[in-house]
Amino acid sequence: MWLWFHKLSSPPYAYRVATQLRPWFLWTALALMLFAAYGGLVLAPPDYQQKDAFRIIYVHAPAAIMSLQVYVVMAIAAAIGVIWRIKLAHAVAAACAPVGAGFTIVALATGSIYGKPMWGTWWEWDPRITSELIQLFLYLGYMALRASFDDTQRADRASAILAIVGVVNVPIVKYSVVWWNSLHQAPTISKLGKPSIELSMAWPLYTMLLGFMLYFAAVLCDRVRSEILRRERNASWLTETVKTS
Amino acid sequence: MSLREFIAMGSYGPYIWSCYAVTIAMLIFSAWSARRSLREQIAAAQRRAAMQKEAS
Repeated sequence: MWLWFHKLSSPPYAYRVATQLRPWFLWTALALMLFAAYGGLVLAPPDYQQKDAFRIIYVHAPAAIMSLQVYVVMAIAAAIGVIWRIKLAHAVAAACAPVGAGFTIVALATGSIYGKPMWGTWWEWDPRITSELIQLFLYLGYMALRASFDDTQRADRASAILAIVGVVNVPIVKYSVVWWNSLHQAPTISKLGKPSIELSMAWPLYTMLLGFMLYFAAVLCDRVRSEILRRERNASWLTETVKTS
Repeated sequence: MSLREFIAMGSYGPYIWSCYAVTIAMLIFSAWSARRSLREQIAAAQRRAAMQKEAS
């Protein structure tokens, strides 16, 4: 395991692995997302309270979960980069941010559209919504901070601190509906023990989440590769690699 | 269920379809922009490799 970890942290090896894995991640993700959309839009019965509008949940909730999960991956990668001084970990952290920001925008936008028919408003300064907006600003701030340094190593260190400190917002978003009075509904799927959702409604949700995770992995492969190319521009192995790709 | 009923989604159609459209647009854009920056980096690396070859 450690040997493998050590091997993976070498840029040429990681570059090759990312190239090989990407199509598998991408096509499995696409298949899962299509299957989940069919399950959510066609097979699942309408909700007894929200009728057909609840079908928005199949893109809204997985995107919102991803907006937090990607951030956790980013913060862990940044921490590994700082503690063990592994350059590749910094490259992974940098690669996470744009994808995470995309998921956060989708969570906010679909949440807003979901809110209109359900709560009668597009936007409310509600704990869940406000903390998710802060999540978006964390991603954007992280990317802006990175972009403000010319020196990659300094960008890595400074942005890693932001990523690690910003991780406090993750539990705030997650538990905001439990801690404060929120318009947002309480969690239905991640509850420990018995989830309060029917199986026919639940499986497309989990499938979509899995699809999003694999999609994230696929995009991460591309982004990590471009980070490696940018960082290792003078390495001799690169000259050999790019000849064939 | 007819196609018309499916698209109408019990009058919630516009909300549901716009949510799915936003999601699909983000997924495509995010994957495309990652691909584009990778292509740019590969092209730049290839240019550097060609220059090195000339110099040597």
